[in-house]
Amino acid sequence: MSVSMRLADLEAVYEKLATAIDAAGAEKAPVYLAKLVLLLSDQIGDPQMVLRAIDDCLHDL
Amino acid sequence: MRPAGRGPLESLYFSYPHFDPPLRDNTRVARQRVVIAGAGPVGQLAALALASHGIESVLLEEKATFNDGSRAICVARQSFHILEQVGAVQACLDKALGWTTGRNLYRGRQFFEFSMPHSQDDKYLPMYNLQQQYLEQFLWEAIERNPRIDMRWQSPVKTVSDCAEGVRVTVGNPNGDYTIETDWLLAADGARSPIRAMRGLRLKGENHQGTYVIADVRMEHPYPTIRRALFDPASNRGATVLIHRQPENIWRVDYQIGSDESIEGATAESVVTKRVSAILEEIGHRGQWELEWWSAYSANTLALDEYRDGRVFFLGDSAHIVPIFGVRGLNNGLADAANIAWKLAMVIKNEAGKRLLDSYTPERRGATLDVFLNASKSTRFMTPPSIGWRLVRDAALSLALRHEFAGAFSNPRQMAPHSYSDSPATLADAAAGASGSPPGAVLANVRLDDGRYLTDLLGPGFSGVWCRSAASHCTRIELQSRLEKLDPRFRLLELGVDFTDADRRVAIRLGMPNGGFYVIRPDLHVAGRWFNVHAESIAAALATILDRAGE
Repeated sequence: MSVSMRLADLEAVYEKLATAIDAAGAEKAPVYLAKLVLLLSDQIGDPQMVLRAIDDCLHDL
Repeated sequence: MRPAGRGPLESLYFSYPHFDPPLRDNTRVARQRVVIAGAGPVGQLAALALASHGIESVLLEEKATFNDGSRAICVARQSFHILEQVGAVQACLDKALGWTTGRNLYRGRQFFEFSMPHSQDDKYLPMYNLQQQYLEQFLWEAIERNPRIDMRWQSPVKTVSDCAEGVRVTVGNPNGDYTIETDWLLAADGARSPIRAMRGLRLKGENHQGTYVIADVRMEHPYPTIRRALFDPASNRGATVLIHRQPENIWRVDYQIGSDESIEGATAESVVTKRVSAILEEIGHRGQWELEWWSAYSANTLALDEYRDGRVFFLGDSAHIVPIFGVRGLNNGLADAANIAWKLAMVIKNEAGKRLLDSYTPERRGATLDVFLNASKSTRFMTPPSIGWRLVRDAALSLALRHEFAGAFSNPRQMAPHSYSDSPATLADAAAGASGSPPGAVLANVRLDDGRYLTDLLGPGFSGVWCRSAASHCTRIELQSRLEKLDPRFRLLELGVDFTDADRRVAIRLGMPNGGFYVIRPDLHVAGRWFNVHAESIAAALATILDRAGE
């Protein structure tokens, strides 16, 4: 089940992520995002949720 | 390859002996019990193990000296137990460098350190580094002392064909080729096994991405025997380097080369010198160093579907090729040899029925598939095959510098011996749920009250460890006589008689605190175990393993 956040909190994530990807730069952006997934996976502690999200995000690219 | 000006056997530290072929007169015995093709460590071990079980063999080797191609260095604990059983362990211990620890570095910073399991109950360290040619030399010294082994150098197998109840082998000899008929042929003739090709068999599996140059250098380098893995080091950007210490101030440097590089270019002496020099500088070596030898390597996971073809058995690299990262190539080869040796010896001596031999493939191929599973993981980490694997690997490395959990992805998972729990030569667990060593597993060792180890007491055949409790109704004589009828070398070890166990450490470590019985196979794997000791049912179980049920 997804953890719901208030729109304002999600917007904060949205903005921070955009800035961080720019800070990483185009070349490092992919490895930065992969790292983020691994760290969040460890912190969330729910492997099924992460695996579903990985599949979900593969759509409509 | 060696530096310009040095011959293929001109090592900086090892003297390759030269062995003459046998005289023509020595080759005239027409029928043999066992012929072993290939006197690398696996073939040598097979000959010694057969001899330890009372079986004579002819050991054929194409070359006139020890191996100068294959360069295994890591010898695992269980292999040391196997070497002990054939009387070759002391020389290996005196020369080898033991180790337990590995360190992984990312861009020059250490992010992970692992220790392989080791306790006071273990007789040997989890791993030793010993050059393959030393291992071959020490095995050869044991072979030379052994009257049951007829070693023939410069004797390649040229043809193989089936004959009545055996195999006919044509053997090359500078003094004239000749033919041997043998009941059994063990093919330990290496990764490019000519016998495998002559039998029309093929290895199946995968070739992995990534090529490594393997270089041995000699230098005084004050760093302990700790295996180092450098990921993305300054000296080899984007690639991986492995560093192992070996005896005689020899260091193994394995480094991955780019996918766009040719093997010919990357193995030119000037190129190897330049890259090794950069790596040594990065690990802080400032003094002199010399190139001893180098080669190129890429990872494969290949195996035969079936390790037996009629009266031919395949052992070691002729049956399976595994990536170096799990250090199981040599170690699994030695385990193959120990495994087939006791089974074949008991069949030849009519102590076991022929169906015992059917357990060789499932047990040893199972061990190979186990390695494939683990080695494929570590190979993908060492040498990511695609953009996805590479990104996530790099992400894990980067993360691991500040978050410990991510370091575990880089654990090489150097493996414990495979368990034969599903084999026809082990029994269902009659003590299911107990801790200790279930059937199929290698027996857990225990340091005894008197400083010896439990494995020191085991016999060359099957052994029984009896954690006797006051409630046992069975008598020693009854057990001994029933089990000796099946295996004349059966050795019964009874608590309180054959060993003392003041703190009941043996009983507890084997999961038998209230009494019980283990049957141990000659290769130190557990055949079966029982809480309740009834001589009749234990004997029936052993008879089943030996394909003698109903006797």
